[in-house]
Amino acid sequence: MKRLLYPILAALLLLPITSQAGFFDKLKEGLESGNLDLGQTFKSAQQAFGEVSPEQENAIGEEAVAVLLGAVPLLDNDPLQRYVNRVGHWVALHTERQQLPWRFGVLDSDDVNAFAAPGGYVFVTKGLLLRMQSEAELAGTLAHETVHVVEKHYLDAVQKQARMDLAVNIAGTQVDGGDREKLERISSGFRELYSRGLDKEDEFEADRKGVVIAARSGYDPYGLPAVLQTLAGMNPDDASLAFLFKTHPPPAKRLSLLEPFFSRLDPFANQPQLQQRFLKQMALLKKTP
Amino acid sequence: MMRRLLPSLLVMLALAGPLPVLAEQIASVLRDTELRSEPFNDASITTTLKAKSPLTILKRRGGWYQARHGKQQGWVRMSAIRLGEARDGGSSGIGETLQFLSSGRSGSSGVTVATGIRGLDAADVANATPNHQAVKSLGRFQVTAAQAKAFASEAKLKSSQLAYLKPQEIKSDSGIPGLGEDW
Repeated sequence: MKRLLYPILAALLLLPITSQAGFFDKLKEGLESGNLDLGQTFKSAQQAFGEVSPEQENAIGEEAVAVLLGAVPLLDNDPLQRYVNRVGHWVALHTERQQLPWRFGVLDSDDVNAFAAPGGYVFVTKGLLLRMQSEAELAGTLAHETVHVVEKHYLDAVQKQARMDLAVNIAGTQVDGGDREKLERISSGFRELYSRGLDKEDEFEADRKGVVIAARSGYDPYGLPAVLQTLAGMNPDDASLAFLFKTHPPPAKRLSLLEPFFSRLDPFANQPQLQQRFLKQMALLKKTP
Repeated sequence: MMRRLLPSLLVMLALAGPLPVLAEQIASVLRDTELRSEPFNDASITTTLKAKSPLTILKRRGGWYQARHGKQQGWVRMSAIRLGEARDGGSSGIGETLQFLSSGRSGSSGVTVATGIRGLDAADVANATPNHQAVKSLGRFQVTAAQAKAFASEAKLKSSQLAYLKPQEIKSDSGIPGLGEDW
């Protein structure tokens, strides 16, 4: 047992050396110049800042969603909202954070887009829903968004953006007085973040993991690639795509990065698309004024 | 919430009521590929398609599209084509107007309903006044894990197991992502 342990320990010690070297160089550089920017020195905000508690994440998420819903209202169509919540929650149960209080929403906009927020919030616009052909496409899109929550993409980005350690700077559920000011800083961080978009690597990761989560949820995993095909096929000058194209890598690029994995998805390709169930729900949209 | 101003032509068309638009999807072949009799890699080859060949897409099954090319019909790999919406060859205006309004297209039913266009852009978000009341209203639609599971089993959805895909697993001979794979 001991004979096995030592080589493993040695390997573990050796592994991070290359990355650590870069980190210490940067730290030394920063200390010497007296110009240490933790946000830039550390690779991810999770390293730079303390672990945000679930209560804090929920409070941060609420601020994020308040910004989003201040820009675009929820679609006034309860059955459709509940449908998207049922599909989305089922998909979220196949992620590493299935215990989150997942909440999904359809935004009343003809623009084609989707968003997520810390704490388990996911949104899709009516415009994007109308471009879809099946529940598998919806599931794939929602799965992509759940990855942003699970991997804390928005949480990390807003901490970098606002240059604040949210773990120590906000008290969680008790939000009053001084905390109010901090929450306003978070709001303004999300205004900037949502209008600018996430890092493109975060989007590629969400695509790569999203197709897997859709497959795990029992859907045909090609739903997300099919949505990307639809977007790639639309007129790029279509006004309803402008915001999406400003905040995401081009759909054709995203597809080309997924395509090498198609052989891994094929064993799941015959899982249901649920086109009929989706179209039945979408018929409800036509009744929306 | 900003509403985009519509060119008067669009307004007139929208006022004219629901506008049916043909949802038949056209596509073009990205690189030389095969049209096969079934959506499988080892299915017999119906014909070979040259890059840039035009296709009409009929439906999708997994990573394959059923497509028509001239008088021939078969299945083509998703990665070998790009969808494109039918455009009036060379015409400006009308083709794009129809596309713009076709954001109301509903699945394969092929019917488009044009409603008032409500946009969302970066400025809307950048200037948003937080709406905390709306956040609370989301709770109305929230479902429990048990409800989500019941809805999934109504449609006979069954959980599968699949590990996450890692980019370093991919060996690409061409060095161009997505182009170095043989199917």
